Amino acid sequence: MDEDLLEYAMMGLQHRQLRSWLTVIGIVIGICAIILLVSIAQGLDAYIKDQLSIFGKDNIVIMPGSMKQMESGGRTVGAISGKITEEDQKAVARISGVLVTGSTLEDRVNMKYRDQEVAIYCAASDPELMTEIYSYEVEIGRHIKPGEKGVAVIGNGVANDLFDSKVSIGRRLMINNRSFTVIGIMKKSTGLMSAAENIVYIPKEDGRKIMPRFSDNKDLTELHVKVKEGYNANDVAVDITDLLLRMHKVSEDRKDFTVMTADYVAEQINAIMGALTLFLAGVAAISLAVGSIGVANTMFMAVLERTREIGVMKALGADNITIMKIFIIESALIGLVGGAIGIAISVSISFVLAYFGMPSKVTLELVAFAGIFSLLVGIFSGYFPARRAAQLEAVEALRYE
Amino acid sequence: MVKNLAEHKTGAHSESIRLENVSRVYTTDGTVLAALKDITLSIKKGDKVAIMGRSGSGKSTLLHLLGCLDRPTHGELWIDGVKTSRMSVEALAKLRRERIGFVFQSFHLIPTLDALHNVAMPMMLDGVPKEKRLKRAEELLRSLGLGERLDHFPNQLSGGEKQRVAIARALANEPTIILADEPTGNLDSKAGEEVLDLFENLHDKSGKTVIIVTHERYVAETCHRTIHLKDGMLDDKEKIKGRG
Repeated sequence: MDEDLLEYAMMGLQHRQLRSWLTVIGIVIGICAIILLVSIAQGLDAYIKDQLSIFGKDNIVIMPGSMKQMESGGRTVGAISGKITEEDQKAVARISGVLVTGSTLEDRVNMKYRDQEVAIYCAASDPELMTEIYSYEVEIGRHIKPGEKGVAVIGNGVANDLFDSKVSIGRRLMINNRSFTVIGIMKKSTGLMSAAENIVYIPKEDGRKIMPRFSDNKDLTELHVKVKEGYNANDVAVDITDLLLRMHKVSEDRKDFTVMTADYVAEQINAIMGALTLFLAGVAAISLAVGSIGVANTMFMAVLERTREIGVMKALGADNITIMKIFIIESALIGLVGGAIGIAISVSISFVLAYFGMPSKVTLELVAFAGIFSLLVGIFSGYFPARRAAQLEAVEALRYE
Repeated sequence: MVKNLAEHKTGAHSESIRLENVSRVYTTDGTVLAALKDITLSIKKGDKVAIMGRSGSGKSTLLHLLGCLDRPTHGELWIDGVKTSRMSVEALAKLRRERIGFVFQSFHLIPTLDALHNVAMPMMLDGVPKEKRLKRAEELLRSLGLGERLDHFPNQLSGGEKQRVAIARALANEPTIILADEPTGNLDSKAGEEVLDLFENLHDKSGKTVIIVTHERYVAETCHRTIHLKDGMLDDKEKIKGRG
């Protein structure tokens, strides 16, 4: 009999097509919202993690200053400023587990090439940073060697796009009125690391001389560490933290530096992405809830309009369960059809977005979840109206105008 | 056991319907309305009975009780020898499905189904397989002269045609009792006559018990017997000369 009821329900829906479709659209929008928003959040998460994968499991970065966190809410109470110095670097280098250290001085500088002058970001770093700690690739030429002075490696954007004429190996640049020879041009990079396109790398000692901010001190912008094989980066990070706390003579809660490991970065990303996903899912859930209310409303109206019909069915010998089944099947169909269309539309949109470069990851679990959820929403929304229908008194129902 | 006892009680001529001291009382917010008071009657199998009375006399209420669409507040009701007072909602629904056919004044066809599927509906509720029930529905409609109207929807049918579809539907599950509530009430005189003729044929050929609620004398005159109701009670005063 249930297949018959299914057929009967479908005929009922077909007869009131406009209203049925309008209700279905409510579910479609809700399902689209869920799938698209969650898939974008997931895509973004995957994209960010991929981009930051250059920050390897055996890298540690130490930066001056820290964001103080309250234990209870993780809210930032305030920023504490601090310095990381050459002394710190020397001390850190002696920690067991530390393979090599490399530091940078970073600032904006004035660069002149031929007749053009631009302001550009400059990183004066230990040569180990580019070759041993990270593996930045040079497209033409080579990296700075230890001990070299007066040479520069430029980003791909500096070489090709920044000035009217291209900059090639051997050319001279004036950086803060000092002459540097170009010995290397970086490979083109994309994505989150594309800031490296418009940047110039010079030896650290030169940076100390030409950058006013760093000329009369031993401060560093960042200290990078590569961990020896066999050592756990998190353990080494703890050793570094202890050492620096002692050297800076501060306590843990007045820490004026930040030690970052890959896990630390991952934690931060997960916290943010988690919050973002939750938020987006919440928005989508609200949208689906509205759709569900639409279904419930339609079903209540249907029960009201078909009061006489229900009375007739009862007179013909339909029992209460049959009446309930009819209405629940109808609302389940609305949910199912809405879910199917919603999935089709949102998966298509997601492919279009991916084609245009927007990160969007639709997983099978998400689609399956959305499909089942839409069916459940349909059933749930129809339950109370169906119950109302079943409980109608046949005699009253027949009299209803 | 109880069933046999009841059947035994009903005597040599099997009774189709029996009422004993049946009352139907409505209580709303303290006001008490007795639609039917202390009705005792018996209808034999194969009888054609009219129920007459003014509006408010309780005739519709009586019909609903006879059709098990409603329960008496007091008293006992037997259908085909089966005592209905203790039956569950599901059991009553089954009883209606299998033994009772309704014809209403306003036809009450399902608007979203065509004539064929309307007639098939009682069979669907009874679990009859699709092919079988559609076939029987078609046969019924053809026998009532509606062979050309099988795929018409109620809003495409005339009043007389709708009532004939309703009659076909009432016959679908081969009930033993047909209950009609003012079946000619919404029809013009010609269609009304056709319907009455149908009831005549139906009754004479099938031996079914037919009960018609009406306020028209000429309808009552086509029946063996007329039950009069006045203010919810049986009224013996006014008698209509029936066919006996």
